[in-house]
Amino acid sequence: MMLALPGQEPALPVVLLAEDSAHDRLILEEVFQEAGIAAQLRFVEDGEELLDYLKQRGAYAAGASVAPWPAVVLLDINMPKVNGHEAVRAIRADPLLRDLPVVALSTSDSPKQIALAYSLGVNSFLTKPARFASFVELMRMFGNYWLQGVRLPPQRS
Amino acid sequence: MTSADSPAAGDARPDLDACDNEPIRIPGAIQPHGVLIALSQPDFLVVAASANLGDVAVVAAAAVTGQPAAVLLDTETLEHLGTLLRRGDADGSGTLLPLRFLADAAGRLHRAWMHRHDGLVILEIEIAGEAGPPAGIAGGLFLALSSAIERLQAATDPDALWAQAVREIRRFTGFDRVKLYRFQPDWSGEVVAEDRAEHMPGFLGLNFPASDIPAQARALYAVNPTRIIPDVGYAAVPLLLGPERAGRPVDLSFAQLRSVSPVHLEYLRNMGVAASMSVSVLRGGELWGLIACHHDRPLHVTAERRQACRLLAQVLAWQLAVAEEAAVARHSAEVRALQARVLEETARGHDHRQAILRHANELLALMQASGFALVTPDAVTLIGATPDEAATRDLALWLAGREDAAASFETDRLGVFYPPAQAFAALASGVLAVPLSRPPRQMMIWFRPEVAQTVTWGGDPRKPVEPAPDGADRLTPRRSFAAWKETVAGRSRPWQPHELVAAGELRDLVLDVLVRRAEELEQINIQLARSNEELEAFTYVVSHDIREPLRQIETFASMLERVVGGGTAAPGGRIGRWVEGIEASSRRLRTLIDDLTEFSRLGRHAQPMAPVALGEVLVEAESDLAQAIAEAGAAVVLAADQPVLLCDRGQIRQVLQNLLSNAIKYRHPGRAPRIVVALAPEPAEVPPRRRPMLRVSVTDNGIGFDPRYAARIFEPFQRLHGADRYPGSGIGLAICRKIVDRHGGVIGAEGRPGEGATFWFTLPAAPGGLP
Repeated sequence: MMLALPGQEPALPVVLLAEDSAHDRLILEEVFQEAGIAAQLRFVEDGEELLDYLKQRGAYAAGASVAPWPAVVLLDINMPKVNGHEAVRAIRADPLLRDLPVVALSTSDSPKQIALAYSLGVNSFLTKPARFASFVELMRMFGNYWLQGVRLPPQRS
Repeated sequence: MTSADSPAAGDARPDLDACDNEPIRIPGAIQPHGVLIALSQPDFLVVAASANLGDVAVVAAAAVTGQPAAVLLDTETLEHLGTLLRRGDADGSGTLLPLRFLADAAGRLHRAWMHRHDGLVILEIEIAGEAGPPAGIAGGLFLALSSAIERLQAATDPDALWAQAVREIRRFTGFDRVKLYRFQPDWSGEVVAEDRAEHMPGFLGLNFPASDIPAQARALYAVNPTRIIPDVGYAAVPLLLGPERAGRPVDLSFAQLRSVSPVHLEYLRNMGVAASMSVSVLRGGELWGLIACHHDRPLHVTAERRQACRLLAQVLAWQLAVAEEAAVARHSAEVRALQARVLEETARGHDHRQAILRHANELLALMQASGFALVTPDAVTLIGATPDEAATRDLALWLAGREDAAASFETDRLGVFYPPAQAFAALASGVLAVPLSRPPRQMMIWFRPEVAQTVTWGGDPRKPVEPAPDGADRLTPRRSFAAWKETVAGRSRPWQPHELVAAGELRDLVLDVLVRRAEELEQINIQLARSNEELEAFTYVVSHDIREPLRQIETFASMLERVVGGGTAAPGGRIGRWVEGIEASSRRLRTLIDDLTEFSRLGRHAQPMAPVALGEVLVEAESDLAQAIAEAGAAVVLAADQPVLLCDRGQIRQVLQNLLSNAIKYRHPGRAPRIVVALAPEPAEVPPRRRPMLRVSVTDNGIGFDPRYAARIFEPFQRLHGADRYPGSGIGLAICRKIVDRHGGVIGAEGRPGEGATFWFTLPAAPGGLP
């Protein structure tokens, strides 16, 4: 699924969001727009689709044209089929994917969940705020940091 | 007792101890009412003959000893003898042999009693007392016997049976006094039945010490069941031995004519007895009792009639077994019926102890006991007449400490084994204890009271012998058999074998029930574990799957607010208020979910109990609430030293935090909150073995509450105020109660509207932690 945000060039960095909830996808679109993040937001709906996208198989076999390489993955933890934990484990186990930045984005704030996510190799863990304004603020920080602040690993050819 | 060959000795009388070893089996002489001949096998030499042989055989004993039997007995007798020996008729107690002496020209036919023993064939011919049958026996012996047996069989209870038995024996023998003497476990004996002529003194109910019938005499009674002395004043007839015996005496254990110990004869004479007969009552080969017959004049009873008496004694033994079995069967049926009721109630879900106690009175009656105790680690339940609780528990501890504590214990003289019991001997001299678990921490104990027993002895049992009247340096049997009363203390009625069996069955029954209970508990545990897993899954669902849509509602609401309200400022329009409503409801629902999740998680993240100083935890709880305390201007005072609690520090911090937070939240609008945390030892609980507890109280000067709701406020989600006035889900106190429960403590509250409240809880004190 691709959502080219209006007024954005295809050359913008890709943020790949794995999120099974249509409501959250709707909210996140609104949040990204409100936050003015200069990125293409692409969605996959579960961990299985995420891995298909990253490995360019299944619906994404056509390659970079349908599955442009993401700068960073935003990953919901509680998803059907392959959940967030399993997806992180699979990414970190794959030599071609293991350096990909993965940020958990979850409703949960339980220490157990957070500890587990880090132990599996997420680069950071964000809890979805309830208030829209807080969400916008959090995602603005996310964009600033991951898309402008940090040096990402070199893009694959 | 009168029937022994020897009165034997009391303790510490070495010269009479010898009586126990007196060679009563080989006296070397017989009584004069018959002649005895002993033949060797297989060569049939006359190895011994009584000196009075000439009285019947026309030939002198000295002339035949060492000679072949053929010089003494005629050919027909020898042939008959050979046949009986080959057929084995002479084995065991023996048989009758028709006998003619070779030298007797008159050819008189004698009836010889013949038995084999110690490699010899022993022939006995009784020559005295061949008078007609006693008046009691009309018709043939056989007819008399069968009707006597019928009468014995008609008597079903033991007392009647004993009485009938002595009557029958007297009828068969013509003795003026016939007694049934029953041995006790210590081999003393009691006369339990007696039939006598009026002129004879009675012995019924008298006891005789074990030494009256020494062990070696009892052994002889067990193998040779009849013994007769037709004339106590007899002159013994020596046995002449053939040269090949080389002086080796003939063993007369089974002989009818055996001469008895002179000491015994003296004993009988002291008792005024001129003739005596005894018949052993054997049960399972063991000597159970003796039928002792006395006459004040000489009296002979023929071998046939003695055999009839022996048969009657056997019938008596069998009938006793029948009567006892019937009694046991009746008892077992009652026990089983009771067991069935206990079992049924337990199966219906009652605790086995409850079921036992419900039927305790029946248990008492069945066991013929006056008191019953059910001892378990946490309680001693007493029914009927028993020692007090402390004494019973001490007794149970002693019983459990015995080497074979897993086995039942019974005694009719507890004080002998357990001296502290002498203090309550009147209540509990008899004890039957049945362990219900291993190790025996649970047991049933039945008590029997002391029977202020008066044992009447036939003469002073401590003085079975006296100095000889002539002043000679020897001891003689006691001369007085006048009743001598002894009061025996500290004894109960003894426990009967069938009662022990019933108690054992009851134990098996209860153990069965306990095993079943354990299995049920295991099942319940499995179900509980499953429920716990389900609860965890539920908690997860609550904490995640409900939170997610709730968060989305909140987010959408705030997105909507942004549009209709044009910002985060309070919107003025109706839609804006509705959006505000959505947000407020969502927040409240979130609080509820958070609290509920925390409540259900309690205990799963619990830490082990450790000693914690109350003051330290209080400081931590205060710092958690520093902001609220500061805003309310509250004062928190610890009115106690630094007592040490045994608790999960994190959880008790949470309890204090909740209680302090409540005290601040429900403060009185007219005064600054003042909160006093105090601590006192909790009065000892019952049972007292529980560890000491401390009571922590948190008293405020806030708005208080209606005491009617003192219990309800600890229920989850129970609130006394609207959520609008005082925010919160109503879970805080429920969490407190759950934590205190987990510590084995109790939580409570007291208050009055407008006058403040005190919330308190108890916790175990750390060892040595009491202030």
